[in-house]
Amino acid sequence: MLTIIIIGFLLAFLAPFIHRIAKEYSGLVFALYPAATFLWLIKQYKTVIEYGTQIIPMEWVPSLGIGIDFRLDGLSLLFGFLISGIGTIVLAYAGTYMKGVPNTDRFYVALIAFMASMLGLVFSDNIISLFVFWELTSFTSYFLIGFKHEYESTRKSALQALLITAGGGLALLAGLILLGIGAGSLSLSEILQSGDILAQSSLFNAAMLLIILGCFTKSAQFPFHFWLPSAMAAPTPVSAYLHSATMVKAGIFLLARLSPVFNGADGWHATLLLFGATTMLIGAIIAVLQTDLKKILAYTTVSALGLLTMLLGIGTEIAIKATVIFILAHALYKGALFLIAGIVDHETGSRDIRKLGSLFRSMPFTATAAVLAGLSMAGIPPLFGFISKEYTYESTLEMALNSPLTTSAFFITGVFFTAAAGMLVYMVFFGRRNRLNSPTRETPIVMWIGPLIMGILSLSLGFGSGLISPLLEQASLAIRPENTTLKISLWHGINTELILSTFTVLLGIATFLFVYFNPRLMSQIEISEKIKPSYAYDQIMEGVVDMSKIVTRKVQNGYIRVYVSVMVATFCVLALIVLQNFSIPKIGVMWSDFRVYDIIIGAIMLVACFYTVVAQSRLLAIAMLGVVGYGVAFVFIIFGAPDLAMTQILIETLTVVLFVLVLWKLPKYLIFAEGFIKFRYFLVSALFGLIMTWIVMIVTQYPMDSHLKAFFAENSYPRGMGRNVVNVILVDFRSLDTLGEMVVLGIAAIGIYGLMKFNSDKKDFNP
Amino acid sequence: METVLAILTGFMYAAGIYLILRRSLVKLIVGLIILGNGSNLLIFLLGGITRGNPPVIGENESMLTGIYADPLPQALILTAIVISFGLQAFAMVLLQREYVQGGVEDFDSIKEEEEAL
Repeated sequence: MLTIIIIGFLLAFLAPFIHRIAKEYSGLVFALYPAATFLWLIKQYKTVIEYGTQIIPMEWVPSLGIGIDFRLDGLSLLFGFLISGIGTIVLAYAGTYMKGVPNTDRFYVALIAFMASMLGLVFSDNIISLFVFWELTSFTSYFLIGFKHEYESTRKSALQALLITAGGGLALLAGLILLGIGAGSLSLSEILQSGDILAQSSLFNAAMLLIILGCFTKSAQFPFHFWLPSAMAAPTPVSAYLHSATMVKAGIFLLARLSPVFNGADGWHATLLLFGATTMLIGAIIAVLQTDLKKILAYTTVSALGLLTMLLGIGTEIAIKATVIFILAHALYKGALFLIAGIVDHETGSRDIRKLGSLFRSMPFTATAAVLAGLSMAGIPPLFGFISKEYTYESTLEMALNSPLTTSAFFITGVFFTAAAGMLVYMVFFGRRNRLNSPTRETPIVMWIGPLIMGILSLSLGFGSGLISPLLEQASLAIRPENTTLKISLWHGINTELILSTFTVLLGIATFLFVYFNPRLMSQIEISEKIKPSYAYDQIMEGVVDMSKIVTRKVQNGYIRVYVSVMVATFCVLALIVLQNFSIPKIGVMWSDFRVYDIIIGAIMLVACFYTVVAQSRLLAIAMLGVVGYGVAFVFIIFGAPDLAMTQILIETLTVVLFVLVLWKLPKYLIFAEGFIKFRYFLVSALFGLIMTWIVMIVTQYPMDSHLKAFFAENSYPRGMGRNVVNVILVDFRSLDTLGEMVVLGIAAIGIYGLMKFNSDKKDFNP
Repeated sequence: METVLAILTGFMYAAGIYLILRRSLVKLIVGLIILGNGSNLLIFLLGGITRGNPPVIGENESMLTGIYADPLPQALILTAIVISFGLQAFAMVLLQREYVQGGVEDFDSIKEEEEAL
């Protein structure tokens, strides 16, 4: 498993080179990768059917319990088949679709990397590696949505999708970690088995809500749904792949994956039901108001994702079965319809259903595929979509509570689905109202074969649903281990579900006809911008940008004095908090300890210091500065540090000389109008000085007990062969520090040299 | 003597910070230098000062005896003096260049110039 994912990333890395060689056939070449994966999964599928769930362990960070373990069970296989199967079709399709588009190699890089991440996501058995793959899908999809980056709207959509899904990803990470803490393991298998322990945990609800939030953003649930329609700015193969069958279903996948843990918790059912049903209705209603093919598809996808969430929220045996059936049915018809929308766009240059019509004659194969997919979407027997609808009705009808509500919600959705299918298929391929001026022709076989296969699958799985039953049964077992066997069949006899289904279709056709014959009325319906969640998103984004501008202007205002005073003031406050535990030390003066010259030196330094500050002339200030420096040297002499005194005198002399040398080029002392400001600075610095004095007094009260002192005293001569201990420390015991010091001086010297050089260069530039 | 030196250290810190807070380029450098000296004095004091012999081993001895100054703070200060000199020299040249180049005399005009760009 790991090999497959690594091959995927390697292939993504090599994609530009392969593309350069294979040119327009590169799509087909790349399609070999998912195709091989698909075949390999079939082999694994047989093992899973025979022996049950397979775990492939692989250590990564064993000390943290993080592994790249893989888990092969019904659910991950179902998704694996979708990812690799539709991936094959999409890559082959993209080879022709993207012909002549610049930077196609980048497109392949992102798409293949996405494919590998998505496989990693569904097969992960460790929540950390799952999260890593989860975020990788967000990032790769950002590049894919933003592929046509020359348009501002595209960049905006891509960023929107990234911010929402990756933002939700943060919530998810927190939720997964809480879950891991609660279960005491990061392994998914162990978490799934410790549902009872988790339910007792205090972290349970927080973990659940955070995970739900993460999944909702990824799977475009209300109120985060708006990024999905915007993401239609992506090239159509991307929409077909990411936004119908794979990435947006990642949220659904994770909800399903963790169902065994959360199923039964009150909040779980209520949240998923409420948000799922809301999303489902909103998506379906907005879908029929659209005129752009891809937008219709996007909103029906939102609606379908809402339906899946709702079904998981119902969480009964039949609802879980309906979930897995619908995942497959939806992927088959929605993927096909997206690809068909791409073909129509590619051949006619338009995606507006008001302008398209009568394409059947010129594109018979594409149209056949469209009809099959559309019928499945409308839920008309004998297609697979019909079975899916039957199961959904069964699960809403069987609910103990809220059955009428959910059933009617799904009924309305079903009606709009049928209408939308009619709009997508009938209007484009049969409607005679519009005649395109330019002649159209059928696309190359690589493009229509994919949708047609998916359409035929929708049809044949309707009849031969027994073929797919074992896989779906395994998938439903993975979501709900107590489920019984799943036997799908087309005909259930005449029952409530069938009657409801019939009415759905009839009413759906009526709705479609209404839309079809009243195009003007439809175009008049407009949704106010202000009630859309995307409006809130825009407002928040603007607010964040404005806020950070204001904060930056305040914080990074460019005044060094503000920075320094903030730092000093902060230090003062913190120091005062600590120092309040200490009493103010008494200024005890032991006269016996005093020497006259101490007082003289101290007084001279104080005066010099004072004059340095208040001096009106630069030269006086520097002279006083020198006095302070020499004073320090005297202190060193008095207290047994001749080396320091020597260095200090040398350096002080150098500093003063250097200062005087550059002085003639420095500005005169300017007296700026100050007064109150000056007083404020005075207060800040005086407080700082006082605190420093206080600290020194406190510290010197305690006797220093340094074994280092004794260590150096004893070892300098025997081990360092030197009598001057300070020197031995510098060049022997701590010689690396001295080396560092030399490096610092070297860098300073280079910097100074560079500044001089820079100056002369600049003069040539600006005469 | 510690008391006198403690007060002196505080005074030097206050003077340094006060100068740095002003608008003038020259005052900033002067402030930096005083601050550097004050810090050295601080380390010296915190290391514990003794009116003792310098930490130099006598001719006929193999280790320090009697009352002697702690060599470790001295080694640290020695490094600090040299490094702060490097810093000061760099700051001086940098500000001098800024003045010669841009003709700015204080920090506010540097900022205004940046904003104009």
